Amino acid sequence: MLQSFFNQFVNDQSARSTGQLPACKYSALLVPWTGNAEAVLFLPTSAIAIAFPEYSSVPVEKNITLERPSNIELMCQFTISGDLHSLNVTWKKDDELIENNILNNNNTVGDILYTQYKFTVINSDQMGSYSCFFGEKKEHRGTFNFKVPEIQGKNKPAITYVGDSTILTCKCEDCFPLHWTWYSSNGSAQVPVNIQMNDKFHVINGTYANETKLKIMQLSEEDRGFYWCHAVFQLGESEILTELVVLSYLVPLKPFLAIVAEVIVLVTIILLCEIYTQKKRHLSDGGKEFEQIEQL
Amino acid sequence: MARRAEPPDGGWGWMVVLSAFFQSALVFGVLRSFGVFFVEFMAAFDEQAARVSWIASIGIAVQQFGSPVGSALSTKFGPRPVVMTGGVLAALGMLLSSFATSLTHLYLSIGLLSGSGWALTFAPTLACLSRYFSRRRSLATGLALTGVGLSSFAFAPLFQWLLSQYAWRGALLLVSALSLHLLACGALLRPLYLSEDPVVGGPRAQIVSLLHHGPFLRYTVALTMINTGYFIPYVHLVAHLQDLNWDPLPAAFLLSVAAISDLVGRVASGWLGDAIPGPVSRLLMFWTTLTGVSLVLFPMAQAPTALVALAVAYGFTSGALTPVAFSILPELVGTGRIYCGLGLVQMVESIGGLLGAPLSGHLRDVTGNYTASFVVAGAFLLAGSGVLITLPGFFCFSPPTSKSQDPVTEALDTKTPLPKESLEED
Repeated sequence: MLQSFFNQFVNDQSARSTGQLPACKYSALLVPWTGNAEAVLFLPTSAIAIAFPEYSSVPVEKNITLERPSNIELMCQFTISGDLHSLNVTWKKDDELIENNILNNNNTVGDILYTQYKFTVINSDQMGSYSCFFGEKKEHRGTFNFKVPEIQGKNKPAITYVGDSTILTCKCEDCFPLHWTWYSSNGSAQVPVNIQMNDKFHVINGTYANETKLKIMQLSEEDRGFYWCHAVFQLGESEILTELVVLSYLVPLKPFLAIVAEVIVLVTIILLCEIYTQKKRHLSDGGKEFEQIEQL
Repeated sequence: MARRAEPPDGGWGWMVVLSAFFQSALVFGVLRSFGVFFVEFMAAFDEQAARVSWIASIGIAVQQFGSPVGSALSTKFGPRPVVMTGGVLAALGMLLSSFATSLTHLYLSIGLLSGSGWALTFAPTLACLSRYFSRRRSLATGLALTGVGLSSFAFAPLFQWLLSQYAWRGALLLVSALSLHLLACGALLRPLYLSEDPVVGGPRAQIVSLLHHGPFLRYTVALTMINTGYFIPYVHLVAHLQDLNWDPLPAAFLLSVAAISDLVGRVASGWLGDAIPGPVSRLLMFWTTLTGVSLVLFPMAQAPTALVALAVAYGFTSGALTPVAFSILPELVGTGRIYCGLGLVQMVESIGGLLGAPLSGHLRDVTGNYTASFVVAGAFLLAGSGVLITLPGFFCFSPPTSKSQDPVTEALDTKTPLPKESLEED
């Protein structure tokens, strides 16, 4: 029965490439939440599976993006030949052996060994890497990496000029953070952006919760540097870096003036050449000429 | 003062070719590569693509409708002061646009100011070029017009780089400095005095006589129809390829292939136009018919090889017809009236250009694919080439009496095309 259950999940999972969890079924769970033991939460339940091909010698990894607290069921399947019962199946979280609370249905069907681990992710403590180990060999291992969704910013620096205003954006493709915060960098430390002080910084939250904008007015040279935008989820934080470059008007002005000077020099050379050849013709032809060039 | 009886066909003329090369690069190359800025404008002013693309549309419209003004001024004052003023205006427009705080500022500075600067440069420069050449006119025009194609290759990455270094304000400032080279281009246009000039009179008289000139009017109609169909593939080719499930990268590559064959076509046709004896209108009809045929065949091609072959054919033939289209005009109206003639042609044919792309887009919306647009574009081209048959000297195979026409006789006898208007090689 576990096998059919397992096969169904394997087929479901193989259709998904990124490991983003769907909410398959919901179950009620009594969870201690901020000390209030009476809270009842309906959490999505999702199952993720890893299958080892026969005689695989490469550790198998899966990245899972998790946004909200969920019930998790992890399953590992291992195909071996030989003596199955001598294999020691263990689960580890971030290199720490998981001793208690293991719903460890070690089941053997034919020559396939199944193991299952159920737990609940409530806050960032439960995020990390979970691994199932078959035996002592380090290669016979499947790893599930749980991460909060990543946010996207701009890859290239935002270039602005002194006195201008600019808008820095961060957005998240498929996720909805609880809230966003902006930090500016002061050396190596991150300092929260001061909104209340003056009219310089405005945080504009976009029409949808998956986007935030920081509007900076009256840019000056001190504003340049790196800005962090943090997306806060129940299960952790995700951050991304944006660089702001503030140039003064002199920066493009110098090449501009250089090119304008070059054009003026060119024009002068052309006109002088013409006057010179005209004078030469005057002298050589003695007034009889086919083409008389008039000056501007 | 002494005037030349015929164009010098070389000498300083090659410097004028150089000037026309850079000038067409700086006007049309900049216009074609301006799309790079649109994304930045959309983000900076929080506007939609349609409103931002009006900037280029206004610029092109002002350039084309203002051409007669540039031509009339060139007839009166000579091309040099007019083109130099145009260069200053174009650069000034870009300079002011770097300080823009709204989209309207860009409409006025780039669209109106730079557009009028461009109006004062393009037509007078090409007309001046036609005056300097007669036997090698097509080759000179073809060489000069390659500036458009080459600059489109060069300016798009250059503008991208400028944007990444200086953002759009600094980039516009530097493009303004680049446009100022039009001033140097204008300085190269030494005035040329030909014997026909006093006869044809001032700009007003010329325009009036041109409007009564039968062949000129027919040529203008033909060119307007050609212009209607000419730009369709450039605008819609990529979208058509995507309809056929092409990926963006091969589609862009196909456009580049067409652009390269366009360049080759321009020079080849320019050389051919001078090498082959007889009226150039026949060559124009030849290239226009081929372009029309290749356009009509476009929707029928499904296989990639057929599409590539057609794209190369379209690029070559459409590039080939451009220098010939310009070098017919001196044959028709004489080098004395070339400035005004070219200006008027530019203005009227722009109607075709303005109508062509929206018409084809409308056909696409109505029918669901681009078949109708391509066929209609090809039909316009074929119709235009049909009108070209009515030009004087088309069917003339015997050598005419004189090399250049007699404008006085022509001013009197405007309705009947004279056989001696066709040019023959010596």
